[in-house]
Amino acid sequence: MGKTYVVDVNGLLCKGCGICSEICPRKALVMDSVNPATGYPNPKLVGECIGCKLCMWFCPDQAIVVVEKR
Amino acid sequence: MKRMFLSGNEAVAYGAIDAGCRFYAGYPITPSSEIMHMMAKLLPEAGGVFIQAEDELAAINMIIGASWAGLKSMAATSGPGFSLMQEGIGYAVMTETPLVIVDVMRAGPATGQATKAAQGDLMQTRWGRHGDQYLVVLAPESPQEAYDLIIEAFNISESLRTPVVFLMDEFIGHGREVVFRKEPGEIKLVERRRSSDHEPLFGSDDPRIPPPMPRLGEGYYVLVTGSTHNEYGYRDVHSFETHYKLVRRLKEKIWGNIDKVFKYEVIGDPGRAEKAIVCFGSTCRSAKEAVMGLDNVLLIRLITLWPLNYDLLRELLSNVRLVVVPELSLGQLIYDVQQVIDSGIKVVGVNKVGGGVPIYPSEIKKALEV
Amino acid sequence: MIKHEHLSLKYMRREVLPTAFCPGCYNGIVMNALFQAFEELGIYDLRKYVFVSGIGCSSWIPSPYIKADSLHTLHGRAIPVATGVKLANPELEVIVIGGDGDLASIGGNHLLHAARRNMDLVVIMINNLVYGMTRGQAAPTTPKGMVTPTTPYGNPEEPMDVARLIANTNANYVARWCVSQYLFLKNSFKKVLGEIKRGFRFIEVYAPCTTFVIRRENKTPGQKLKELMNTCIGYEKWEKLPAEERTKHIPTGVFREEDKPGFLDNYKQLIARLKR
Repeated sequence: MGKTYVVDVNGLLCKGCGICSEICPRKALVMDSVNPATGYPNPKLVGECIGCKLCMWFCPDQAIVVVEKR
Repeated sequence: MKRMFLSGNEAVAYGAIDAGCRFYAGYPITPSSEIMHMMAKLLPEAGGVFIQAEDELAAINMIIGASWAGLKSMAATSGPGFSLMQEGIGYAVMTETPLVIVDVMRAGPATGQATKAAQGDLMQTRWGRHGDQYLVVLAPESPQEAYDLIIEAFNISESLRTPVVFLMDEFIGHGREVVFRKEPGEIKLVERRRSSDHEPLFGSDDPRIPPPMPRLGEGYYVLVTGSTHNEYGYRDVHSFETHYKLVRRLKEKIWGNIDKVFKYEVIGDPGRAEKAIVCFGSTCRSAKEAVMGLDNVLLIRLITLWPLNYDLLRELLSNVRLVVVPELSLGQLIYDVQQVIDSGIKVVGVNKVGGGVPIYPSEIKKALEV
Repeated sequence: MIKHEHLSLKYMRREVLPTAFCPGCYNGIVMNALFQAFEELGIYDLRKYVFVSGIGCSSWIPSPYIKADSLHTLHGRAIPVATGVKLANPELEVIVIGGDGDLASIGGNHLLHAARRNMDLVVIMINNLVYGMTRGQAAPTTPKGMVTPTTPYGNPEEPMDVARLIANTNANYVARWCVSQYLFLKNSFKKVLGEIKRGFRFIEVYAPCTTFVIRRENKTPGQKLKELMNTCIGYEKWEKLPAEERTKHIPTGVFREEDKPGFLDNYKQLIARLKR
């Protein structure tokens, strides 16, 4: 109830595979524009995060972190 | 000093134990199995570990792992098993893993004659693996020397951080003679250099000085790889510089230390001799008998077969007009001799292999009469 | 705002990141599950852990990405090297990470015999169904009929069920999970690292190669992951399926779980008997 979450993306580690956006049960992550530093698109939180952490577990590049906002 | 009556194989096992070998992995194969039997008995008593591997591929790789974990390690085998071990030996060269591998030669190729002596693996000990790689090869001529020299083999492998191949043949392996076993205080043992600071584990400014080697689990986060790597162990499978630097250093580590590792025996006077014999291993015993009473023959017994001191061999042979090379093979060492002598000097091979038939002194004598 | 960091990163060599794995490669997910298991067990430093791998993409997980001692060995030889390490220093926890080609094909004999000995090792086999590093040729785990560069007319061979094969040996623990079954996988890692600490512990991770399996199916790694969530089912459920349905599903679960003495315990007993 009332918990909110931060989704941090490390743009230097992300390879833009899109697993996070496809696995998100709320479809809250979309693949954004290409990160000029890596040439890969990075995910962006556009909806509400429920903190299930599926994107974090299934990110093969350790590029996504979900933490509860205090 | 303890007087014992041992076969060459048994002498190797006692020597290995006395050299501090505490890990053995092997697979049964004639004519080297007695080494394995002895290690199975001696190692548990000495607080070491013995394991019978599922094949020689496993055996060589088990001793590589044990060596990185900090134990002096050995495997013994014979031709077919030695062939299977080649990839592992190449890995040990690339990762600078100290090991001793005993090859008790039998007649090949393939299964050949399992119980019959031969010396046909000589070139394989040097060149059996792919790529540029160098290691040390030692060959004793008797059970006593097998005992003493296997201790030296461990010392060289530790001090140069390299695999050492110990090349025997069935005659020495199964031949039984008096062997004097040393007491612990009588043996000089060399241990690999341990890491002090965080010096690189795969590089050194002077290629003749091998880098230090920590034990696994000491917190160095060691990266060991058989792929081309930089001095910190990181894989670099693209750059010319990294690869060239690494293989040059590995070569120089062996050849740059030739004065320390090259051992040989000379009978006769190189200044006066007109003829010479060059030999290694069991054939030297026939050769020694053949030269008895002949003061114009020089006998050169190579104890270190690789790296070979070609300059020294050239110098020793500079005054002779005939060189006889007896070998229990169709001729391999003879190429080394041909390489160092002037044209015009005759080189004659005495070659026999199979059936457990030795080269008789009379045959060598006859060759000397040419 | 505080920049947060993925829990896995403290177990990894940061200087070599990002990894060389293809975008969407499931190897990274296996790493997350493994590292989360370590974290939940309260193990934050891997200096007493030795990782041994052979040749192949998954063999690159420990070398160089895991911050621990690692031995990147010859193709197929990770298990014998790991055996040597463990026997020479039983204080070390030795973990083998490799692929199906490495551990079950060229190293198949070593796998069988380490399991037979109940050798005190943890072996993680990432089954990507092909030889990924050499461009996706057929492996012993490749499904029948699959087209690869070495099976251009479809694979004529039956695949090998590695986990169930090892379950028929003397191993202490054998499980298979799909990479989509993240929590099961993580809990299996916790089990073999924290609970059953001896004997041969084998975990197969079903994780099709992103580039040479998934892309050939015209799927994205995310789509395949969601598909696996439906196709990977418990083996008891799988066994009840009609034959034609079985080939479409992957049976997963824990096939064997015991805590009997491993090779080292038996060897120590032998030494103790000698001393008496």
